[in-house]
Amino acid sequence: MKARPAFLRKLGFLGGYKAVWNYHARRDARDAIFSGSTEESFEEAGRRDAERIRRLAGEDARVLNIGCGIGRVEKYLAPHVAEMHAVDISGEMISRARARLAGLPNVHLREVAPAEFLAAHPDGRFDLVFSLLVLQHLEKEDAFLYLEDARRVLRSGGTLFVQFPNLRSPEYTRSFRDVLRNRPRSPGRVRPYTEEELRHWMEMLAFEIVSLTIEAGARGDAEIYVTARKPEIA
Amino acid sequence: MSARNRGPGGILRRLWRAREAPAAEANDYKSIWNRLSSENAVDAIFTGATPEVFESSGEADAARLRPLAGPHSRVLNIGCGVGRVERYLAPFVAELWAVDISGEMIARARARLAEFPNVKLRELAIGEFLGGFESGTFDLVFSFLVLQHMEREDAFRYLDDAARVLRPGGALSVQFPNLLSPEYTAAFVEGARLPSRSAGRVRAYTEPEVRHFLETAGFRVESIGLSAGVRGDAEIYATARR
Repeated sequence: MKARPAFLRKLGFLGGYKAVWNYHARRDARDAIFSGSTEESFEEAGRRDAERIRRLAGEDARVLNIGCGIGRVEKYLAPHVAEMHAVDISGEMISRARARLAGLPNVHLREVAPAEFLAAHPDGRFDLVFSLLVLQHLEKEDAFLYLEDARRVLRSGGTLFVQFPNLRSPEYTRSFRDVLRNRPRSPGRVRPYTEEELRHWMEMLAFEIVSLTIEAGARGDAEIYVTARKPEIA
Repeated sequence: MSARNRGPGGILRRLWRAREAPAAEANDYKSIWNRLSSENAVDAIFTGATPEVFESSGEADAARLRPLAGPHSRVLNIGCGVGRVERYLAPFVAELWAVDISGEMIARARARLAEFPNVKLRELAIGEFLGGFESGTFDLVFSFLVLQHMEREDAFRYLDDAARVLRPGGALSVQFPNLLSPEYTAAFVEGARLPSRSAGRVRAYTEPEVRHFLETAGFRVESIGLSAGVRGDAEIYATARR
């Protein structure tokens, strides 16, 4: 994130997540989603993530993305699934996603209200819910509430695929230290996690962990990816 | 309001500070703990405690600390409240410094600890941390039931500052709630559902997280263990050396 006038930052912070991400979307949406990315690396990462997610969903799958931004992944995933639903807290992001994804008729976008979570979606509606580079920007309680709601909107046997930053990696140890002295701290700042915490959350939420992998970064341990299944009703 | 904030110069100073601190901070740790202290200080510190339970917990925590300090030790407590532990530790150390964000708590501690001349109390300003203390001057720093009530970034800043004020080889003794315990799992879910979240709400940790924070702050972890609660794993207690 580049330096910008403190008074602008504060105005944004007072409005919570929505104001933060609307502000970033207007300023430089791509950089806010994937900091330091070029147009090329941004698209390449979206393509790669879509490829990875496709392996978890069939062509008839109904898929939901929590925090789509401008539709980084949707662009490459939508052609391979039946329905691609996506929500974002920022209307500015959603309108950019609408433009970017205009040619894809099976994409359904929604701007969520603060604390709406996934309330607009019925129980058991989705085969796959995923969220990348998003839950990390929420208070831990809110991230947990999204996962809880993700479980509700998943069908029995449906799959959850989520990413969290690993506190113990050099990258996120550094980024955690870097924001310590910020006053005020952005409500959208990154919260890093421990693997133990995420395993515990999955247990609390009655998800079955299919796989938990730690990857990327200088030491190969920057990001934690969890694939989990909502158990079939016995 | 302190004397130096009165008058035209004081107003300018406050406006200058207001520029630095957002409106939300007026509602921060200081006002939370002043309010709780005025309502029921003992209960705010140790929920549901009778006076006997409160005193015996102070005694037990002092006993936990005594092996880490001697009669010549300079000791610092981060977040003393009404002086729950000080009363039982002060007789065994040379100097016992205690800080708290709440002036209301400090006033109560002053009354409670009046008979101990080696206890030095200090109300911290918002964002002060341990800035009022010189580097390398304490033999032991401890903090119980306090760091859990802050944003993780603030808890870490206290640990970072604790490492600074400790002499090389000095000891740190801290407690954090264990997210993995049934008690704090339930508290986390309950808290997540509340319509508004207090800045002073409890944040629960995992043991590897506490270890990582201590190591990142420059400590060598000497022992870390779980105790208390129905399953004996509600609290994480860590002892570390600078």
